[in-house]
Amino acid sequence: MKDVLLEYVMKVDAYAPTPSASTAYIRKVLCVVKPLPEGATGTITECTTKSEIQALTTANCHVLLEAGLPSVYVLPMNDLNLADILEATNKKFFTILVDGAFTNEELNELDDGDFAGVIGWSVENREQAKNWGYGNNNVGFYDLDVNGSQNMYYAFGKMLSANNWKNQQYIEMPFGSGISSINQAELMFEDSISFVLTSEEYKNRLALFASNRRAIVAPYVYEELTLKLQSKALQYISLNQPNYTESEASLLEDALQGVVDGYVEQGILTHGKVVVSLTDEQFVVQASINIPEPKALWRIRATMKQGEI
Amino acid sequence: MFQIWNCDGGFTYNGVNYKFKDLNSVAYTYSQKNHLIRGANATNKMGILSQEGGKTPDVAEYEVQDCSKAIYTLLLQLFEERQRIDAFFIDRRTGEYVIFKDAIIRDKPRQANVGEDDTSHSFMFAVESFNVTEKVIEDEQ
Repeated sequence: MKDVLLEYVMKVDAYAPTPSASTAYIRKVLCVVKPLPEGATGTITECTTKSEIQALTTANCHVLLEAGLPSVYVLPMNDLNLADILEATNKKFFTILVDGAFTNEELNELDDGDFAGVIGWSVENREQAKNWGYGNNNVGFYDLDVNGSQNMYYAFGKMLSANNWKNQQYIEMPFGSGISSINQAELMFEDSISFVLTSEEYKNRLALFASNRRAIVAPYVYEELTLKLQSKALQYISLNQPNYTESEASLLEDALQGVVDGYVEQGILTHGKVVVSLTDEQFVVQASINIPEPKALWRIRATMKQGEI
Repeated sequence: MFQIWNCDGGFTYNGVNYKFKDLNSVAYTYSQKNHLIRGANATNKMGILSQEGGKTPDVAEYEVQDCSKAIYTLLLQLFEERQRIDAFFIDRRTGEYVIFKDAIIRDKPRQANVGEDDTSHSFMFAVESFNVTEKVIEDEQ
């Protein structure tokens, strides 16, 4: 309680700017794994060490930590009925990785409620990996069952622990997936399946990493950009208390454009345009935001002519 | 086209907009220029394209007749600390604008002369920037 005399002599209106929204959850991962025999299910646990994970499951999601993530959420389950658990949890994440121990039949029963993030699944079946990878923000990762999904965990760990959004083209991977011929690789590429290619000289390399036929970073960039635009709008309006005028709409537009320009400067987006305009309504301005899809360069089709004319 | 009687001028620092209460004029100097050159024998009628000014920033000079003491003090502080600001000039009717982004204040924002005439009751707020953005809106006929 403040002193009445101090308050009487000098009344101070405290003022604090609105902080930026946290985007940390975009880099958080939930691993859905089979439990240990007699192990508990249905509880999400944040793990920071391999031993903590191994106390819950034999799945290899500790590879996410080895790839650079500081922690992972682990959810032991016997089935993929996740909707109630995802709705009830206060933990936030944008990626769910379903361990390869879950079969295609179990995956078809997946109920993720209204989860809108990326869901990856690793499987040793090209058709099943393709079918899974052709929906929402899904990632179908082809890998040998014997590898225990470690390649998928490693690829996501590398991407999500990087300082900026990179598609991880041809990073070195821990295990081969039995793909070592150009024909096998072409088939994988045609179906936009994420996979590891093994070459004699360069060993195991990530040869494609995609989400629903798009660059793997695309859903993450959209999510982060949306959050940053919303956060900037809140900060701008709370700091400047704008009137409903054309000039204020233009200055808000410029502030939002600055967020998009940041992604263009980093080379993540090629361009992007924000337009804010007044409407006939009270309180609400209209904004249109045109953002091209982030794309990734993986391959080159070249033609070389030999000889001189 | 801008008309001074329809416009607001000011600057943004740390996300907060500050507007000048009384603004007389704004003058812009854009540094980049294109030239044609050719050999002294003067036979080339197309010429060779040449460019100058790429190393020189664009300049905006606001003649501010009056502003609040708080803004004036802030401007002096920003000048002394060489802080970056966005200097804007904006049409209140249409929202058309020119913004000098990531600008520095070139001249100390002080009244330069004191006299009896109108022009002495002002100070110059001059900024330099390499990042000038604009929004162009069609004039109503």
